[in-house]
Amino acid sequence: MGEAKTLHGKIEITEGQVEEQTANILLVEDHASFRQALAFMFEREPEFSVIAQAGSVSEARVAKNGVDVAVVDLGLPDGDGIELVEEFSSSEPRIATLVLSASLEPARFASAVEAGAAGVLHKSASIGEIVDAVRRLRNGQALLSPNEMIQMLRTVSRKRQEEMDARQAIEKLTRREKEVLQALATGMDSKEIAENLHITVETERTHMVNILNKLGVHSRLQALVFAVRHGVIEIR
Amino acid sequence: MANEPRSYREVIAEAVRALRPQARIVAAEPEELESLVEELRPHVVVGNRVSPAVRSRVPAWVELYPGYGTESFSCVGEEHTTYDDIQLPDLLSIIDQTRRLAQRS
Repeated sequence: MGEAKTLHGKIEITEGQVEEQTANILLVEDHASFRQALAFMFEREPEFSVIAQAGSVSEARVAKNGVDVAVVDLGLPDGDGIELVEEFSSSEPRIATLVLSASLEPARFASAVEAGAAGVLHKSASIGEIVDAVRRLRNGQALLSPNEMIQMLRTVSRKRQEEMDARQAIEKLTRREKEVLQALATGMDSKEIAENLHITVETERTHMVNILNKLGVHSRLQALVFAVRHGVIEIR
Repeated sequence: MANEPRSYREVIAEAVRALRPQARIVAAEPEELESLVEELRPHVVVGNRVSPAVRSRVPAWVELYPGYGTESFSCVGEEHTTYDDIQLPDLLSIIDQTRRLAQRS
């Protein structure tokens, strides 16, 4: 008789004989009506048992005992679901995490994979896709191909490089140049900015040329978008 | 049910179908809502936003997570309710109240 060993969601009793075991699921989702309906759906399947539900990162942290598969939303009221993915991946490696998010940013999904998510799904997925993804994770199957994984990690790396470049560009801006950008954000043209900052139009243009060079952009509009996106200025 | 995202619509619709088997649940894309309301004359409509035109044609409606926040709104007959964090039993209760309302009228 072969030695019994536990696989992901299965117990191998003897060679070639596999008995299905219930997979314990943790649902982390702040929209309670969806979370409860999803729990109900999984509970109807004999192979799944929802052992805990959490509406926040802090609730999830105390509900992870005995969990095989965690379905985690990213936008939670007290933190980012990616923190949880990272924690589960490092301290509870037996938990396979499926990220289920409404985010439309590929970089968010890529960051989740980098943090240790075994799979990512957008909330526009069907019930069938969600159940199938959890079933595959339960069986220890990969949801992402090696190529998809590599693409996602490249996305994270590219995004990180872009953020670093942006930070370095912003650090090069002088206080005066930031004031010019802030004035630009209020809709002022060159003449109005010059008047507002008590400088000549020529000086304003010199500041603007310097701003465009430092930020690596080609127009006032691009400079404005860059400044808003990276929090240099506020649109009031 | 014509709310987004799709997983919410399908999962909640499926749970309600199982928990209230006497109710006929139709899940549809949001852009189909107005024409389906005209065609099916439902008792309850669930959407992220429910237009005044739809509100005027149904006895009860739910705006589920409009703007993707946690707040939701409902109206059954004349009674308006705001939910900070609507629960599945709240949705079932709305269906039950509407059913009683329909039986009385």
